[in-house]
Amino acid sequence: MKALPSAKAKRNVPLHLMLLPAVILVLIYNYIPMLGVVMAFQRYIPGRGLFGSPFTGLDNFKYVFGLSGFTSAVRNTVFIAFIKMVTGIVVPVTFALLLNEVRAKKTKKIIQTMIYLPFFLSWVILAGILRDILSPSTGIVNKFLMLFTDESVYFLANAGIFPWVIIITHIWKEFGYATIIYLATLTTIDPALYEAAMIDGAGRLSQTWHVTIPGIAPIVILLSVLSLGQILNAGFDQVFNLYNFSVYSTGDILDTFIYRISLDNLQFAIGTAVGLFRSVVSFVFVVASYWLADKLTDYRVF
Amino acid sequence: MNIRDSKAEALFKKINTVFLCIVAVLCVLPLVHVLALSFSSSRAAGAGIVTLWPKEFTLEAYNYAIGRSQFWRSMGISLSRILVGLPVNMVLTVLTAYPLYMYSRSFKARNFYAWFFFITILFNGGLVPTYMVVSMTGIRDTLWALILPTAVPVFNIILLLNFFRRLPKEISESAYMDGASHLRILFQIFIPLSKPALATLILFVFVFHWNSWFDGLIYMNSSENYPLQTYLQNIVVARDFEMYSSATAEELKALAEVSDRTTKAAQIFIAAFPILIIYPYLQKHFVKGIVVGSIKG
Amino acid sequence: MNRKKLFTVGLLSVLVLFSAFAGGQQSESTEPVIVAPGPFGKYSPPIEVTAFKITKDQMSFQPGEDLNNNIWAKLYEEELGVKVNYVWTVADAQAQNKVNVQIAAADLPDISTVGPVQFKSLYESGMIQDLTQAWDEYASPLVKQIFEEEDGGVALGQVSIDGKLYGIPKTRENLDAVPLIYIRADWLENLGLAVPRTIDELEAAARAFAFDDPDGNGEDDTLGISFTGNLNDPIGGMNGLFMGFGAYPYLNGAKEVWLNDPSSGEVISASVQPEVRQTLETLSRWYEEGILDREFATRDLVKISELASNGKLGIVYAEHWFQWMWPMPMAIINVPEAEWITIEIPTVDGSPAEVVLPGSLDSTVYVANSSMKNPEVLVKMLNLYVKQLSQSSPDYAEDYHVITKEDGEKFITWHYGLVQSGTVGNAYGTGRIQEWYKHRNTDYHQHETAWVADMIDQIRKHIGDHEEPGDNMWNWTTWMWGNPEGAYSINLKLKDEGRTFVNAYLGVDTETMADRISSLASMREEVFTRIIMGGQPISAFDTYVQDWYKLGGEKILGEINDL
Repeated sequence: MKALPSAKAKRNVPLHLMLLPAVILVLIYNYIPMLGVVMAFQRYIPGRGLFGSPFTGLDNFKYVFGLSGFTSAVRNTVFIAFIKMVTGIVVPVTFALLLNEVRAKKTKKIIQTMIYLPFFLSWVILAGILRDILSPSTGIVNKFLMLFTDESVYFLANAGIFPWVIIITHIWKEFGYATIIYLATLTTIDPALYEAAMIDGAGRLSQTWHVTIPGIAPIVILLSVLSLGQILNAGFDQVFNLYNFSVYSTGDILDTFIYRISLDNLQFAIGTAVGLFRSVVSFVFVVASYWLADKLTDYRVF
Repeated sequence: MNIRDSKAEALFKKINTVFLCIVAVLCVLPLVHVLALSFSSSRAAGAGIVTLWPKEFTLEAYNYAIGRSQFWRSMGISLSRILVGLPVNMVLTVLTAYPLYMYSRSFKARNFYAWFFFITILFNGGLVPTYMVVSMTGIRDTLWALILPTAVPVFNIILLLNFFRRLPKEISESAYMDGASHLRILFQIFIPLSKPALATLILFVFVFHWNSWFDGLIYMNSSENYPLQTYLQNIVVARDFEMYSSATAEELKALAEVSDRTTKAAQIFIAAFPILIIYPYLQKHFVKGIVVGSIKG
Repeated sequence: MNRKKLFTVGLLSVLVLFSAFAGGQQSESTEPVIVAPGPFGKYSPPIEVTAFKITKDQMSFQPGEDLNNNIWAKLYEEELGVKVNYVWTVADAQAQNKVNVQIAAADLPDISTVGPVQFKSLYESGMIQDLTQAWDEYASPLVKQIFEEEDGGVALGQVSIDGKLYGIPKTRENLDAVPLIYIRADWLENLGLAVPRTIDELEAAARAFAFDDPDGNGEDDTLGISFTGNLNDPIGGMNGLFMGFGAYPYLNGAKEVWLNDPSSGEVISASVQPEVRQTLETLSRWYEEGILDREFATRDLVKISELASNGKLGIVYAEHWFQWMWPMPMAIINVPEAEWITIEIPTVDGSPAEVVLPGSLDSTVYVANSSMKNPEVLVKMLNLYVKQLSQSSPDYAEDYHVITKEDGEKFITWHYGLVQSGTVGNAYGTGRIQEWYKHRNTDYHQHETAWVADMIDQIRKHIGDHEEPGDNMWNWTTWMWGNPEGAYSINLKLKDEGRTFVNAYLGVDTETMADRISSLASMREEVFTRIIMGGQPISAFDTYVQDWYKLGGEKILGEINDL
């Protein structure tokens, strides 16, 4: 029954061909530009190009790492990005599961559409709205809080609270969109499994526990691994539009930090160096989690 | 026992539905506020008296954005971008996800390819080298500059290959034994069975193409060739107050005649409108799903 | 076979790559360079120059015209024999992103329009050429008079490096940056207060505005004084308040202000001086007492204007254009009883304030690509621009400024010009309006330029000696600006009384400045904000001063003083 190696290779030719167009495009538009990373080790001079600019070793990295505020920016970035990552998995999964329990199809559809809408608001405009809603004197949130306490909270200018404002508003804006993937995943669970569980006398809760959750687990693991690639990405647009000097200590992230430097100094190499730093860190995290997923759950995410 | 269970279940269902409804309303309220702003006079918006219903109803903000020929031009460019870009993305996604869905025991090079693609998610050359390559390949200032550099959506490919793996293996295996070609298996078995996943990906790709604006700015040689989002970005969002600082009295008046707030609000709805239109059609697929069992037999 | 294919593809890619990144492959042609002597000499045969254009939102063309075919394009061709070919255009709101990429890719036409940071980068890359000789040889007498005598060479100095001119500076009236106070005179009157001349009087007014119900509506809904969270904005910035204390840490558009120390003759930093400490102490007390808006940290320019135009805020530090900052023009409609006036900034001791101003470079430089054969074209274009549009030119021609059609539709034609500089108008305009106030004649349409006549029209409508019913809002804004006690009139007064001085270092960023100035600025804003909001004691300022010197300040000062 076993096909001969050569025959097998022959049957695989179409597979290579199917990949060919994507391979070519990725080579041209992703891999060739990647050679631009040498800029990270150069004092890049536009007119001289990548091969004419002088190499400076690790100078760019030393410069950026040595700037006051850099470590704190990295720390803030990792904190915000990590919580965003975890909640970015937990919240949409929970919602997909809860939504799955709603039997009335119309209600389900309407809710699903509504939670997905905030995705289309831009941070520029949301920032204005949030400043109004969270205002300590006139904001609705504080008016509500004042029912229980005397002191109003200046959410956007309180360094301890600010990162949480960033995280919560991020969840609010994005979770509906992220839920879509899990809803699509839920549809692929074999209904026969539910029938079998029902015959075994399992209630809804136990069905969810024994059928639904294992059913979507692979996709959850996959998206968790992929989202680790964002470990140094805390969301420039959002923070940039919401932060202010009084929360720099906890709210200044890598991207806003680099943005401010590049305003005064057109240093293409610095941006590249920081990009490379980010890529390497992400790579380490993703590979580690890929390997962990493989070892612990025997699941190759891709 | 069973009765108590179902009573608890019924209660849970009620609480669950109420909870979800509250969340849904919380999600929509700010949007309603923005919608109300977009239809209010700039005076009312500036005075902060608009809440959830337009005050001093007017279409001036929409007129400002839509009432120029450039708007329709940009709309046309955006639509052609989607008409070409969406099929390109989807075809490449499907063609690439299929071989990668295979396990390495049946397709040895599979792991190499998978990492080859995956690396591009983490590492990229950055804006400037990409721009150089786009220029060198002669597609700058054409529609292709907005399509080819992002033609291979690796994230979507990985997602789809995982969905392929969830399909019952027996089907493809038996087809394979019967001598069906890979293309046949892909198009006649996998694709029909993966409608929810494909609907999701089509939505993602649609939203991606529709919302992208930066590549239009960088790759187009003329502001007349901007796609819609690039055009909209330029009319209001990034209004630079430095422009005011050194303007003469007459320029200042021209700048002041446009209210920032209502125009931005209108911009959001103009921009989101097409997505809101196609959404229900795609939603059908990923909420309902398909009955796998019926095909299986 | 597949390996082979892959290999071929790989090889091809590497080849493409090498050609893509090789950079600087300029083909040297041996064509003779065409010369056209004299400031307005015409090239024959005509030459073509390439350029890009940053387009403005308000830029529109008459039917049948476009960027390559309009009144200015014709003028360049007919007068100078220069055909401008715009190889690309970009809308101004996002233009810098595009220009930066083009610079990094070393893909620029003959003439580029860039900002100061880009200018420096281009100079360091050797991508632009020295225009000193072109300037000496081709600048018209009027241009030389404007740039070298009237401006005193300030703008030229800002785009010169080691004594050589590397670009044509776009100029502005540096007087535009004078900080003023916009204050509600009716509120002062309601509360029986005089117009504040000292900081103490300002504090009294702000306290009363915050707590004594200045609008008499019985509600505690007004603020004392507020600023933007940016501290250094042209509207709601703190620079004017600091200047009242004789402290100069802020100047809109400057990352750091440099002062001449008369005792040592050296340049010093403004943000580390003891007067700054005193101002911060006052601000922090105001914050604690609620005189200063507790939410200033999250206010921006738009919010400040909203508060002011809706009768919630009665004191705003701002530059002369505040009444145009949307929705401020609405103030006259929203709160009809509001009577806004502009006053000079008050000082600690009541002595007349002295203010610091930026240079006259308006953050735009026109540069010539190092491969450009006729760099003098830039100078000639400037000659032409000044000739057509300078108020002091005998050849002033309105059509090159704005064309008004019979149906009233306006086309702002000066946008079509490529090198736009040397024709600043605000001081001139205010001067003409003041002149008109003396006689209040009605024949001004005959001898004033159109925009001045327009402004006089609006002012006449506002003050009511003109029969036509007017558009209140816009008439009010112009009146606020141009009346003899109005915003720009105060600017002129400060200039006439010699109470302005210019930032002591205006040159291109020194090496350490480019590297460190933005992190020093971030540190400053964070510390100052926290001191004001009570998050840190005033002693944090002393630590800031030490850190400032340590983290690069000392080195920057050394570099400046060595120049």
